[in-house]
Amino acid sequence: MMNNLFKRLACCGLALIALAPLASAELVIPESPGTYVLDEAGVFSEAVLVELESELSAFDQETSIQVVVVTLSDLQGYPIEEVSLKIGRDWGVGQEEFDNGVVFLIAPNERETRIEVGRGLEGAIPDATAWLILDEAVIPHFANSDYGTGALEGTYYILNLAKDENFDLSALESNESAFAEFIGSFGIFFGWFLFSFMSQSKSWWAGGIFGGIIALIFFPSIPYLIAGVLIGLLLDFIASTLLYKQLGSGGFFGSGSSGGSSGGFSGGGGGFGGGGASGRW
Amino acid sequence: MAKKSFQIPKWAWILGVVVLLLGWMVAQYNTLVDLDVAVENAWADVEVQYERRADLIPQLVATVEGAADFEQETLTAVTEARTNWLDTQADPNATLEEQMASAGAFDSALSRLLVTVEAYPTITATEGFLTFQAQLEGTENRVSIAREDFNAIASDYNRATRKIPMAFFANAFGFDESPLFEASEGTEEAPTVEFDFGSDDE
Repeated sequence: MMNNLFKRLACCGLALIALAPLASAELVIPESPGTYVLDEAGVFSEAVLVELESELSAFDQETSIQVVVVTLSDLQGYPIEEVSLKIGRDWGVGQEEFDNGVVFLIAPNERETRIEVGRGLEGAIPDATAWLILDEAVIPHFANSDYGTGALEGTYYILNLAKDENFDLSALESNESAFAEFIGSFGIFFGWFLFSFMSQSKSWWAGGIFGGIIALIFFPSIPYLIAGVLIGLLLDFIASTLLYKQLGSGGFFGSGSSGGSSGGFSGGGGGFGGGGASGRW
Repeated sequence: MAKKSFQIPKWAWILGVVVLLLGWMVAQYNTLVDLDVAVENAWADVEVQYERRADLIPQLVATVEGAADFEQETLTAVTEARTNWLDTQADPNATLEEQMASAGAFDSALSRLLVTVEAYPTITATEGFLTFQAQLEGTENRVSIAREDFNAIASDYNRATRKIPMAFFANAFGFDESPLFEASEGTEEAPTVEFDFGSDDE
């Protein structure tokens, strides 16, 4: 009897273990690799990798359009459309301002491929055109297991079509740097001023008033006012109690490091709405 | 002689608490508005994608009609579903639920037609149809993504408006629960096989 129960339990356990992968079938995609090419399936030669990477990196520098080429060994049973969408959105391919990203996804084992086009490029690369690229230039090579040539050809057409779409880069750059500069100088100036002023005094409530006034000037709304008062209080409290003795006349804030853009891929937060085309061979 | 220390008067405390409370209420209300606008935007995107699909239907019908002995019922069903959706969308009194219902009917009518078309090699073999099919697939993909995005955003909104303390504000200011799209073919998490070809309204 005991034995019987044991067997049943064992059966149940086995069944649960067998079902477990089905139940937890959440789509998992690789982390953003910091490069424009991710060859997880390992189908590209070194030469192809180098050529794609330099081509795509240069294209991003020049146009701000981000195209990534990804090969995956396993789609985990998901439709390729969902996988490419998740890659595009999670990695933030393309600039947030323009939604100008493209994900060229290749799943050699499922024999499927997709060009996922960001919202801002749907005009330059319509679905039918994306399908034509796959059908004419990419899939014939993939069918011969020549993934490198297929990917290079497909990328060539994608870049050629995308470069006709003009994005106002000056707006992007000036916007970013002006804002960063403003915040930086503002923060450093006020931080230095407040800290040196307030750490001179032992009292800690003046910071609250300062915070409130600053909030009222820059963000005239009640939640910001409260936040300003609280942050001011906190900062002054810290300054008065912890730094009172340490902070004499010397500066407290070091200069912030400014991050220049290198050749690597770093997603700009582009949006995807499901444009593009899929193909199989 | 005790040193007289500075005392914060009682009215200042009360004023402070009232200001904090008011600020907090304003913040709650504004959060509600943000969530509500996000739902509206997501719905607008759904409409755009259905509109796009509706624009493609006449071309699809024209392509398919020419084929010999094509089942006319599926064609008329799609045309009717399209008209019905366009009418519902244009009707300012139509609720979100009604619009979703007509969208769902549009979905199933179209998927039935597409399945039927597959059985006609004379249609599918032409080069023109293949590029057209790519367009149609793209549209279907966009529709399903727009629906999923809408559901995700509307669920966030629903969750937020049902939690305390936000629920009090939502009730007081009339932020109703948003309806969601029901999962139908093509919108499940991982549709490997399509079992349901709109058999619900046969």
